[in-house]
Amino acid sequence: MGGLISFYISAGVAVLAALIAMLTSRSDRALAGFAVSFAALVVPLIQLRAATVAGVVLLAAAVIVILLGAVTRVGPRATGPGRRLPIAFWLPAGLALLGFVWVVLATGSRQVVDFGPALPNRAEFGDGTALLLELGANHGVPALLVALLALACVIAAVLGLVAGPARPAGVKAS
Amino acid sequence: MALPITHYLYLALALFCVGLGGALLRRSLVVVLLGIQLMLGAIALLFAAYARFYVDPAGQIAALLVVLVGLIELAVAVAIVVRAVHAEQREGEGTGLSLIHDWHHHHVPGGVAWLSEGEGEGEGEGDDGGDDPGAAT
Repeated sequence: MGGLISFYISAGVAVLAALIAMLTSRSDRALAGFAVSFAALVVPLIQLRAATVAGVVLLAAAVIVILLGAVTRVGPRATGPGRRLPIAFWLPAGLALLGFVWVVLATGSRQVVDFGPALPNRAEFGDGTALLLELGANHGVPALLVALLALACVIAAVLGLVAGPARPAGVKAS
Repeated sequence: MALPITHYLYLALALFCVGLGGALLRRSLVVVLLGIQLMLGAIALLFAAYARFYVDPAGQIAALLVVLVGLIELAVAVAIVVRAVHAEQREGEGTGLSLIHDWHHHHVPGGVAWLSEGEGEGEGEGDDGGDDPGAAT
């Protein structure tokens, strides 16, 4: 019962904060809503015995907030009166919400509720060390690809920042 | 499992829909990137739910990789923005960075008025402070 209550509370907070993050017109509020949403996502992940994933998600949320917070600081500060989001936003958003409610109502009465097997003999499931061993043993190629992507990303970012200003078109190097 | 897997699936679906809506409908670069990250977080939750359901750690590994790829994508986007900042400071055109915030002074020549999301808007009040009778509708 406690698991159910904590799940509903965290799910409500996560969805509400995500909605606020997507609907607000201020970037700092959007970042705060996003951080709260990802922080609330930790509860269901821990319930699923994915504590390592929860830790990485928290770390990723912190990095995202720091990076995008820095981006919002370098941009021009908008001035002038605020306005409502236009109908071009609310019309598709309302239709999407209606579609989601329809999916929930249409499938909720016919869904197969399954709890999955118990874990008496797999107590190491979700453990960080076991996960790393599994990653190295059986999933080396995707891990290597992601590592290569990260390396290329870092090299490209550093080169982009260090290379200096690009010359305008038509200007030859001296 | 403490709860049926459908609880987690519906939560992931709701988060994915919210992120998709923000990524598709908003013009702000920050909100679009946040929407993409929300979608990736929902996918990670989905992987974790099925990993527990099938008692297979491969799902958790996939969730980890999805989150890490999302971080890489975000780093590339931030590097592009920083590059744009440098170009803006060098050339002084003053247009490219307006994409960071929406509801900003941003004219769309020839664009449909209600699609241009409020010319001359600022971030002082936002959608919750929308008492402006001249809202772009």
